[in-house]
Amino acid sequence: MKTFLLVTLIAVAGAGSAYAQHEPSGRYTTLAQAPASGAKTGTGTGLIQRIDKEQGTVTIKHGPIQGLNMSAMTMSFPVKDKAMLAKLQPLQKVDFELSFDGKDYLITNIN
Amino acid sequence: MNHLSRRRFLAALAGAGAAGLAGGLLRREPAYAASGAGEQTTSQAAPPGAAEGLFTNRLRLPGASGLYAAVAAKDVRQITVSELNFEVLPGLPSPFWAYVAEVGGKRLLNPTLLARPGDRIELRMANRLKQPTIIHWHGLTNDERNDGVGMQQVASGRQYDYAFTVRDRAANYWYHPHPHDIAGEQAYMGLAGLLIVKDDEEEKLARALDLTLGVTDIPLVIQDRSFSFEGKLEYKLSRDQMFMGFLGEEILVNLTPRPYFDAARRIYRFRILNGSNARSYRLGFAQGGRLLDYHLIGTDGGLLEQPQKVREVFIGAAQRLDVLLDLRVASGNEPVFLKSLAFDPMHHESVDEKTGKPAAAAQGGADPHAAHAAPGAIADGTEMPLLRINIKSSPEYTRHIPSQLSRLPKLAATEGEPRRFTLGHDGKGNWTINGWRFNRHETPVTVQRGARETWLLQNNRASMPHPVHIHGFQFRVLERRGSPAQVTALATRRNGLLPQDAGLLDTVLVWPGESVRIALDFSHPFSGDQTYMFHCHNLEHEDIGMMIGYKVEA
Repeated sequence: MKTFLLVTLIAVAGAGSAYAQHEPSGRYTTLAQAPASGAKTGTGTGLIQRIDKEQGTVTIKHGPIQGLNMSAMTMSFPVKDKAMLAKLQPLQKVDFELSFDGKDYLITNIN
Repeated sequence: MNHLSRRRFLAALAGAGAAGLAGGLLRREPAYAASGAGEQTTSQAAPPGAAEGLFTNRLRLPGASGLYAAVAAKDVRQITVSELNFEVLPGLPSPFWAYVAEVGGKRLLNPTLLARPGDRIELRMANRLKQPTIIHWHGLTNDERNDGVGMQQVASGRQYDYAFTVRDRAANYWYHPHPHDIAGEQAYMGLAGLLIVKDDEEEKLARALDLTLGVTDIPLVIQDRSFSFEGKLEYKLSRDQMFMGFLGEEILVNLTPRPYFDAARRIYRFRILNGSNARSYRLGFAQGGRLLDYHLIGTDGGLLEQPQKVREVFIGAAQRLDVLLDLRVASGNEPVFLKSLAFDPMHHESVDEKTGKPAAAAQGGADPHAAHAAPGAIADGTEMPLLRINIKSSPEYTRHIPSQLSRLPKLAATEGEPRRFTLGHDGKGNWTINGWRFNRHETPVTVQRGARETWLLQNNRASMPHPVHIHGFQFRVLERRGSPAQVTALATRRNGLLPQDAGLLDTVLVWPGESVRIALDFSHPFSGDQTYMFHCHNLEHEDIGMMIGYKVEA
């Protein structure tokens, strides 16, 4: 049911698109995918779920993202610089800035 | 996957299709492949988080005050059931419900109560929640009034006085909420504590192995939880979870997320309680890809007669395992992980009516994890580390595990047909026992005080695992039949019995298709009729009525 709600939210939000993925850890998350239009910047708050230093991504359970019309969900985002991941821990609460250049999402600041 | 859940999954796929129009796509990948039961090794893949050193929070242990502080039960005069704020995640206060006791000027949360057989416990429960509650003393032999169930639940702002004598063997009992319909939420929000009863045998073991509670004798309460994006405890049940039981996004040990524990190269005792609402675990200790031997020394009802060497043991919700881990068998200083090993959770068992075989198999191995795993939740049966144990240099330790631990009471012999109970569901979203759902005005089963009976707990194949808890009396398992292969592989004795079946139990995990025969002795010192509960300890199952009252007639 949650999967259904999640997918419905994605469809309604229309802020780009997403993949729901069952990770090897047995969790389901959503991956950011190429959006449809327009450069934007948003800010959000969330709880870190997973950090992939090799891929340079961080998975965040986040609230609504102001400026990007994105609903609360769990998503994986690339970061601007992999060094930004060094100070992060799973289950850490973070504020972050998310840019959207018309093609990709990118975390430009996180702390 | 049963037909209902398959429909839900297809509905989700349909939703994905709709999302796909907007550029979205749903993709499912398999969970960890289940390792074969009885294997000597664990997954070769590093456990999630292990390689990254992500177990960075020191395990919370019983201290002099605060959470889990140990205190003599007879010194506690009042337990206030309270709503407060507590940092489950470091630095992030969350609403949290706790049993609060004030003893000797110290404030204790969910105190670890200590007692000896014969101790008198007299305390008042004050309910400061905004809803009714009642404390159940799980595993203890009490009369109906002091057992603590929904029949005695206490309204918000009211109080309830307990007065009873500890009559049971030394063991790891616990206390938790047992109101009607809302036990799942209350336990989830934090209400649970241990009641450790010790006796001369316990103290002899502690001396033999040089064990100290909170230092080398460690209670481990395993619970899964989910958090909001702000780091607050979140109990939101999907429709599936209302039926199947709650599964969380993080596994906590002693309310510590991603915990570590610094240990010496010696023997440790772990008193393990599965305090999760619904999740089962297949517990093993792993160093790298190697599973370590450990010894099971006790169960719900206390010490076994002899230690049982094991590598993995299933533990269902509400069950306790008492184990010894000898870290002298670990090689080098590589950390050891307490893990839950992969297993088939059997949440969506159904039967193909034509073949009589489990429908999932008939459908070519449909993923049984699929429909129950909510976004973010860790699917039941997933292989995962729970606790990192760092091995530190330490003085030489030369103690050995005694070969004899205790003497169990003789098994009650019975004749004739067993009393049969079938665990199943009615196809309308309700779990049932013999087709019954809980009705506070009915006690469909009556037994005679002092009678010895055999009960046969039969779980339908079209079902899921049910941790069955019987109030009022401990019992022994006589036989398991129809057990799934992953359970049979762990059997060590005749009649399909598992190592933990050598002990006294108050809760037994019954798998789909399995029949478990148990022996009960309904002798107790209480005059007058007494009514007790018999229910599934998957708390969401309990809350939707998988419980019956049974009367012990004087």
